[in-house]
Order: sequence, then structure tokens, then C-alpha cells
Amino acid sequence: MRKIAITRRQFIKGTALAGASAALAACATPAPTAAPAKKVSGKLTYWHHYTSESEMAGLAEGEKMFKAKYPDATVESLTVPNADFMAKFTLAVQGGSGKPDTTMISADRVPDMVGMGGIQDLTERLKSWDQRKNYPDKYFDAATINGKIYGVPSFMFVDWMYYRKDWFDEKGLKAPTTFDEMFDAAVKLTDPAKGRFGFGMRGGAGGQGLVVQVIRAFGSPIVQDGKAALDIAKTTEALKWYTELHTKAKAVPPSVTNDSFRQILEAFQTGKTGMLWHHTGSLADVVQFLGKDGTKFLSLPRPKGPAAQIADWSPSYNGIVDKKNEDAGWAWLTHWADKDTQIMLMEKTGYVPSNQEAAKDERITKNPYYTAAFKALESGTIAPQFPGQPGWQSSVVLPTFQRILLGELTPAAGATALAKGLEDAIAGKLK
Amino acid sequence: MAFQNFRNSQKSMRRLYDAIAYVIVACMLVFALGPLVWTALTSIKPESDIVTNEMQYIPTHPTTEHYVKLWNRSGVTTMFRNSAFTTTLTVVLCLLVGTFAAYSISRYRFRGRGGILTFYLTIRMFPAVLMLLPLYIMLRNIGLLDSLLGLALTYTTFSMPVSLLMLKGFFDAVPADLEDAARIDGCTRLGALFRVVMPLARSGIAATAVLIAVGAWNEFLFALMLTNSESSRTWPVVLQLMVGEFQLPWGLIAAGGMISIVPIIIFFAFAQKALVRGLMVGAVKG
Repeated sequence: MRKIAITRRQFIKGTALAGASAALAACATPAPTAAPAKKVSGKLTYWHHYTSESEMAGLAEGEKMFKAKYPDATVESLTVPNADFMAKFTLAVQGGSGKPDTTMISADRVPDMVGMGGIQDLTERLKSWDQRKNYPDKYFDAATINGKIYGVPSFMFVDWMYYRKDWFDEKGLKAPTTFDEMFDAAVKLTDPAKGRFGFGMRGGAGGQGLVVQVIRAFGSPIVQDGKAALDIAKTTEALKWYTELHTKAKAVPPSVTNDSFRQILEAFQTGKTGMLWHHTGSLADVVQFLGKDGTKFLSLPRPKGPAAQIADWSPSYNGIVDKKNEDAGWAWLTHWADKDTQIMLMEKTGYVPSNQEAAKDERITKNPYYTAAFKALESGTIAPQFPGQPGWQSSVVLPTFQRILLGELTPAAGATALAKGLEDAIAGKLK
Repeated sequence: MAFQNFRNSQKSMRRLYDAIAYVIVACMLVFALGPLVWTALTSIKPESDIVTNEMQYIPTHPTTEHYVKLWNRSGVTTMFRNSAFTTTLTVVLCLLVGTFAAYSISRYRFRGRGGILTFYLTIRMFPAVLMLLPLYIMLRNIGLLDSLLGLALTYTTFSMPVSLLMLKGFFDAVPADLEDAARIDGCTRLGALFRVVMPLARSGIAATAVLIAVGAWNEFLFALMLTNSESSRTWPVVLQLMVGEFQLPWGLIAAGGMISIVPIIIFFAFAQKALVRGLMVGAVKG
């Protein structure tokens, strides 16, 4: 056997080299690992804006499932009312203390949260995440700023419609799939003697988004290449069709111009209206009054307009705030992105899973409400966003729409007013 | 005869005026008490009576389910206790510091006396939301962020100017001669304050305490922003958290509203006499 001779000088050199390498390796920042940390322990804080009973039940169940996966971890979640969420989050980030480890992120808040350095870049972790294949790229669009991704989708709000199946059966009508069928059904379901109206139109606060969707369904673009692109003829047609449900057909409650979300929902719950446009977030509330056996009401994707079927969806994300507890935070994020957690949340709240594996699960395929939500998700898109949009929608679209409903404006004049307002809004001149 | 007619017409005019006055008072009562009665009725209606096709004014089957459900929600009792503690501490701090400060300003003539009052009033002129970030950082630095003591200190800061002004007015109304007499009899300055001035101004002190308590009990902005855990949140935050984005449990919210006014009603019941007297004392001087 050959002996290896090492001189004392060689031994000292080798030891020094090994020591330096070890020190360098220790100093280097470890690459973030995509898989949930095997050992997650300690306290993890999470801020969210769940408030309703069904949402809180979903959150509690989700926490229980997380605890089962990571027995050494404790989640401390804090409810912050949605309206005050950004104020509190900003205060915690700017104040430099008291910020949570993880947070819920509405799609429209991502730019502000990233701008203040409030949420962490997850791009590297997502690259090697085993569930990434179940999430289409478009689901991350609203959480991507300058090519970096800041959130993992935990559920989706998907636009759809509810209809009173028992009323449709009574009249021998089939569920509407086009605008024309919907108009026809609204007229036939209306029976003022019984206090019934075909459609619960949102003509009060929040109704502006639906008006814009109808305009898009008639084929008019809103903005193209950053410029106002409203097609006056198509917009006129859209406004005419939508407002005539009230002005001509009298198929919506006369209180329409004051009807916001609560009014249209309660009218549907109490048997005043036969159809309702909203998103999947209200399913639990509708089920509470009309049951979930499918005899009284069912849900459907929004009907097709003359040019397109428009249904918007909006993801809700979870993100990491504090780097100190990043691995545990990632475990929490991926837990809520998991198929089983999302199906559980859907069962509690009606919020649609963002994990596409969920669509194949028996708990979804056997439930008519849930399958309708996934159908709506397939055809949906994210609502177009542009500078000046909130101001245009609330101070131009809604009042113009209400004036047409009240007979103060014609649809054509309304369309012109919307186009003018849109140009002003984009130019930042909206008064 | 003419005189009799004149008297009769005067009587009927007076009756007419009385009737009009009663109608106006009744209208005001309906407007003032209507929402309260409506909330009370909603809080004992079953859900099926609240969201209905036709308005159900009187509950068909009165129930306490909303109260029970609310009270059984996790953390609700803690938050109620937190509110009671924070309110009590704020009242104590405001009265303790405010009494001495108001007494000094009322009795002593020193340089900057007027400036102090103006300074306190200036604090009230800024919207509370502007103070949030500095307060947040200060509380963080002294380790009182997310604590009931920190919250009570914040409330004290904002209640102090009003309580100082009110208490000064009440102390001004107590004749200085009474104090002088006490001092001639051997009382120290503090002894005269405790034995003579404070008993005479107790109605005003009670009125001030009620106003501070109502403000602290109902405060929402700081209670939400300066606390980061369920264990240090207060009652107004609970009420706000009941309003869901897509769900609105009217019964639960009404029950919460009724519970939240109970402590204030009890406090008023105890302090009512003193409060009315105190307000009168502040109004008439000379």
C-alpha cells in the first residue's frame, strides 16, 4: 500500500484553504428553497381582511390543516377591515415595526405594496415550486411588477350570475346563455302583481363595473395603447340594451338607481328578483336563504353579449412581508395554494380555487355551483386597468348610466358623455 | 263680551301653539329614538324577519340568538374587557393630570399661561390620522405599541385639551375666597383643592369624565391602527369587523350596537344629575 506523504507546510496550507472555503460558504446567502420548509416552527403572523362568519370558518379550518402539517408552528392571524387595510399595512411598514410575516394581497394593491417595499419577491421560489404547473401564467399577471412575482394566488373571485330555477321552471324557460335570452327571460319573469322582477340590476353604487362589462360585451374596446377607444355606436347599443331592461321592459325593481350590492342581493334572497349578476363571493350568502339543493336557484356563467362573453376574475394573493420568517411564510403561502385547502375554502365561502387541479376533484365536479364557477373562470379575463379608471367609472359611468335610467339622457348622448369623460380621465383632466 | 271673546281666542291660540309644540317634540323624539328602537328590535328578530320581502316591524318570534352568538365569538369578551380597561384608565389619567393642570391655570398667573391653553387647543386642530405615524413610532420606541396602556395614553393625549378647558371653566366658577378662607384655617394649597374646590366642582368633574369616557369607549381609528393582536383590540373594532364585504349580519350588528351602548347608559345613569348640573355651572357665571 502506497503511503501519501504530507509535509507540515502542505497540511497547514490545506487546512487554511478548507477553513476559508467553509467560512465563505457560511457567509454566502442561501438560495431560497421552493419546497415548503420541512421544519417549520414558532409563531407566524398573517394579516387578512376576512370578516364574515363563513370566511372566518374557512380561515380557522385552514389554520387547523396547517397545524396538522406543521405541528410546531403557530399561526396568529389578524383581521383588518378591508377599507382600512392599506392604512394599517402602510403604517406597519413605514413605522418599521409590528408588520406581519405574511399578508393577504388584493390584486389591485400589489403595485402600492411593492412600491413601499412591503412584500417580498417570490420569483425564485416559484420557479422550483412543485405546484407551479397547476397555475396558468395569467394568474400571476396582477402580482407581477417588472418581471418579479410577489404573490401566490389563494383563491379567485369570478363573475357569474344567479337565477331562480323554480321561477324559470314555472314559466318553462331555459337558463339564459345570451343577452337576448336574458332580456326575454327578464320580461317573462316580471310580474308586478306578485312583486316579482326579472332582473336585479345594480344601478346604485358599484353598478359602474357592470355597465363597462356590458359595453365590452357589445364589442367596444375601452382603452387601446393607452388612449381612449370607446366605440360610440357599440356603446350606444350596449347602453340601450342594458337600460331598456328598466326604461322599456320594466323588468327591474323601480328602486334601481339606488340599488347597490346589499339591495340587489337582498332582493334576490327574498324572492323579489329572478336573476342577479355578481361574483362567486356571494354564494354563501345566497345559499343561506335559498338553500343549496339546486331547486330554488342555480348559478351560470354570464350570458354572451353580441360580440363577446365578458366575465372578469380577480385573484386574491398571499405574500411574504417579513424576511425574518421567510421559510415559514412560504410554507403558509403554499398551504393556501394547495388544492385541498382551496377546496375546503370554497366549500365554506364559495371562493373559487386558483389551483387547476381542484377543477378535477370530485368535490367540485359533483357540485353544479362549483362547476359553473370553473366554467366562468375558463372564459374570464382580468378587467382592463388604466390610469384614471376608478375616477372615470365612479364619476362618469355611474351618473351617466343613472341619468339614462331616469330618462334624463338618451343612450346615444350617454355614450358620447362616457367617451368624453374617458378622454378626460386618461388625460388626468377629470373634474 | 269683546274681552271674553279675546280671552277665548287667546286660549285657543295657546292650545294651538301647545299642540304644534307637542307635534314638533314628538317628531324630534321619533327622529332621535327611532334608530335606537329599530336597532333594538332588529337585535331580537330572527334572521328570517330581518331580510324579508315585506317589512316586518315587530319580531314574530323574539330571540336572543344574536346576543348569544356574538358573545360566544372568540375574543369578544376580551375586547369588551379591553375597552372597559382602556376607557377607565383614560378617564383616570385625564382627570388626574387634567385636574392639577386646570387648577394651576385657573389659579396661578404665570408667563405662558395663555400659550399653554392655545398649545393644547392646537393639538385638537390636527386630524387624528395625521398623528398616526409619529404616535406609532413613539409607542414602538417606548415599547407600548400593541398595548392597552399605549392606547390609553394616546386617548389621554387627545382628550386632555377638552377636559383641561372644561375643568378650568368649572374651577374658575368656584370663588377664590372660599379657598382663601380654607388656607387661613390652615389648609395647604393641595388641601384646599381636595377639601374645598373639588367637592364644589364635582358636577363639572363628573361631566368631564362622562365626555372622556364616551370618546374613549367609541374610539376606532387608534384602536385599530395601534394594536396588532386580537388580545389588545377593543370593542369598536369588534363592531367594525362584523361588517363583511359580501355578507352583512344585521342581527349580529344590531346586537353589538345595543351591547356597546349599555355601559354608556349605565355611566350616564350614575352621572346624570352631576352632568346636568355641571353643564349649567359652566354656562352661567358671575
